[in-house]
Amino acid sequence: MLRSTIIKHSPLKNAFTKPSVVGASRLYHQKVIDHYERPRNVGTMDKKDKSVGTGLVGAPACGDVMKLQIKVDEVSGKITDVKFKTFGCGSAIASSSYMSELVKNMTLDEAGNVKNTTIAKELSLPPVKLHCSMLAEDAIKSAISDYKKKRTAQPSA
Amino acid sequence: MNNIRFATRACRLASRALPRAQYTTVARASSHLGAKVLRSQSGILSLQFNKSVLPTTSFSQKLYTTQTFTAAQLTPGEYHKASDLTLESILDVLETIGDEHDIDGYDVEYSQGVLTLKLGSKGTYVLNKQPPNQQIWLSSPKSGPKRYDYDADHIKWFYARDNHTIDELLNEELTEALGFDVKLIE
Repeated sequence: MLRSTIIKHSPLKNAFTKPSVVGASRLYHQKVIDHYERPRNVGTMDKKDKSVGTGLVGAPACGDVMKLQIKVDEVSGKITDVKFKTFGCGSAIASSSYMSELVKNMTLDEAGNVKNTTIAKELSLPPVKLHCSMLAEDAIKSAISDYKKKRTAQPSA
Repeated sequence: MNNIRFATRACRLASRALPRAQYTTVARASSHLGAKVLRSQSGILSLQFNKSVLPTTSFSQKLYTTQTFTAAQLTPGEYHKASDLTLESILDVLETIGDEHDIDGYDVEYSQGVLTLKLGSKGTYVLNKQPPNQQIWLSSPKSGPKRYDYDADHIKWFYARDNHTIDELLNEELTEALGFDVKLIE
């Protein structure tokens, strides 16, 4: 079940009212389906904006790519806005969607401490999909480090 | 409590050579003293006292080996050969364990490059090949997901973040989960 969150309103969506893996004994957990059908915080931010950190992890060949962007308020150090785009399986989309919900209004340190186990537990991910939650953790860490890199690279006026 | 756990585990290893009563005595004594029981090739047992305090950190920071590894650039053929060999030998050992021991809910399955080990209430391990990255991916109910790269010189699959090898982690976790010594040979 591969799909990109960019084509949210494509006609193909109607063909997938209840996504399930054919032949498998397990269906997707309700929470994963919920995030898949109604992903939160999908979108893009301006990469060049100094208050935006962009994390891009994964590789198409592996099956999952996640782009997670955070807008950080300079004064409070809190994440004021999050946007993500994920190409991959339902669990990957749900992991990044749930991560985007979690880190909103967190400080950078709190967001960096979010563990993949939190996501996996919340979404009841099966063993083979734990890697998706790890990817989401990598994505937020990558976004935070990108933001920090931008700040240190800022030329002092 | 790490040193006690380590000592007890070492005692378990040595217990094969000891009659039951002596094993309990040695185990208790060594755990109190923070020592470990060693068995030489000829079967002689010795106690090694460890005065230093072992760090109580998460698995990824434990030092099982001081070796560092480097990922090799493999051709697709070499990768598949190495990963198939590893997974098949792990499968061998796991199937033997299943035959020799009666473990509740134990099931091993291997198909299309995916090895699934069910341990009933202890959870499910999944090992799979990841050809685009030339890695083996592990999902452990205890320590979560990990990705292993291949070091061709040492013939080991290692975790790049802390250099532990796949057999170290699986030996440790399966020994603990099953209650007897497990050694997955690579």
